[in-house]
Amino acid sequence: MTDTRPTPDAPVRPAEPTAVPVPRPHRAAHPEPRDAFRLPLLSFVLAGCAVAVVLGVYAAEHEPAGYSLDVPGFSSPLYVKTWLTTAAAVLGVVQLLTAARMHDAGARPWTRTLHRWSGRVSVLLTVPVVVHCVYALGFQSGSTRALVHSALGCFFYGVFVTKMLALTRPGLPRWAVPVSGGLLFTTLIALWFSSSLWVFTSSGFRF
Amino acid sequence: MSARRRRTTGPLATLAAVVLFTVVLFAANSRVDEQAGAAPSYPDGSSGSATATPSAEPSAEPTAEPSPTPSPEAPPAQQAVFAGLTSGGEATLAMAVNDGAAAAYLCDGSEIEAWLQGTVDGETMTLTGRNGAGLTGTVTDSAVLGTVTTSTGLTLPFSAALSTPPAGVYESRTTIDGLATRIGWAVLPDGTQVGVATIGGEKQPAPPFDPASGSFELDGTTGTAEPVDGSDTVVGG
Repeated sequence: MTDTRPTPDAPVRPAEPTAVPVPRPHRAAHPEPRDAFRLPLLSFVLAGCAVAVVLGVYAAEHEPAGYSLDVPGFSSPLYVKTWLTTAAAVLGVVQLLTAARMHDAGARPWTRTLHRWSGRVSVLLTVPVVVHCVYALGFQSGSTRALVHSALGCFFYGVFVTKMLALTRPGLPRWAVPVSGGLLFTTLIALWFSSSLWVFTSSGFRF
Repeated sequence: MSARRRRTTGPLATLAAVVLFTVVLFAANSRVDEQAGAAPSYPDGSSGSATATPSAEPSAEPTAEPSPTPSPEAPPAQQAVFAGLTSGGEATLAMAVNDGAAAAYLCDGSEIEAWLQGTVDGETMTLTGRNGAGLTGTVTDSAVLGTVTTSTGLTLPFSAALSTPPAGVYESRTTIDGLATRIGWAVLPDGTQVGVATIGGEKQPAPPFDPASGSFELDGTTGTAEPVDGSDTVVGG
C-alpha cells in the first residue's frame, strides 16, 4: 500500500497519548552562577591528580617485592591478575551500556542499581591487581607496553577518585561525570589491552 | 531528600571501600613479607618494612674479626669496589662503596643470597638487609674484613679485597613472562660471576652476562646487568 501524506483537511492523527514529556528545566533554573562549580571541580581534579602522582611515585620508589599474595585456583599469579582485569573490563562494558540511563527519567530503576554496583565490583576487582602491580612490580618503563600500562594505571585511580568526589556534588556541570566516566572506561579498556590481552596472546589463553 | 543523601554518600562509600581494601591488601602483603624470612625461598632484600628491624643485630655483635693494619682515621676510599669470599668458601661477596654509603651482594649461586645496604663510618662498615641479614666489617685501604649474616641465620666471616672492574656488584630488574625478576651478581676480579635470578619468588642460577656490555639472556628475554654503586638503593625503598 502506498503511504500518502494526509491532506491538510484530513483529520490529524491523534498524538501519542500524552507521551510528550514536560521539558525539564535546564541549568538556567539554578540561581547559582556558573563559577560556583569551578572551585569544587578543580579541587576534585587536583585530588585525582594527587592520587595518580602519589601512586606513581610510590610504585617507582618502592623496591619491588617480586611477589605478592596469591589467589588459589589459577595457574599463576599472572593469570589471577589477568582474569581479575578481564572481569573488571567486562563490568566496565556494563558500565558503559548503563551509563546513559543514569539520567534518563524513564529508565527502569534497576539499570541505575546495575550501573552503581557493576562499577563498585569492577573497581574492587582491580584493587588486588593494582596492589600486586605496585607492590610486586613497581612503575616500569622497560618497554612501551609496560610504560603505557604503568602510566595509565596511575591515571585510572586518579580519574576514579575525581569521579567519586564529583558524584557527591549534584550541581556540577553536566559534562563532568560523563567525561570522567568515559575516561575511566577508556583507561580501563586500555589497561586490559596492555596487560590481559598481552598475557593471553604471549603466554596463552588459560586460567 | 534521602535520595540526595544517598547520592552524596554512595560514591564516598565506594571510595572508602576501595581505599580500605587497598590498605588491607598492602598490610597483608607487608606481613607476608616480614614472615618470608622463615622460608628461605626469598631471603634477599625487598621490602622497606624489614630494613629497620635488623639493625640491632649487627650492633649487638662486636666486630669479631681482627682488623689488620688499623690505620686510624684512614678515610675509606671515595668510590671503591671490594670483592671476595666467605672464609669457608661458601659464598661470594662483592660490595660497592661510594663516600659513606655502601651496597653489597652476597651469593652462592643457588641458595644463599642477600642484598645489603648501609654506611661506612670511619673504618666501620655496617650493612643491613632484609629478614635479619646484616654485615659488619672493618674497612682498610686494601680490604674489608668482617662477618656477614644471612637471612637464614648463617654467620660467615669474610674478607673482600679492593678490586677493579670487572669485579663488583651487578643487578638487573626485569619482567619475564609478567613475573618480576631480580638478578644479582657478585663478580670477582678474575671475572668469575656468581649470581642468582629470582623470578616471581623462585630462585635459579643467574645467567652469565657479557662483561663488556652487561647483556644477558634468560628464558628468551634479554636484559642488561647494571653495575651497582654504593649509593644505589638495593634494600627497601
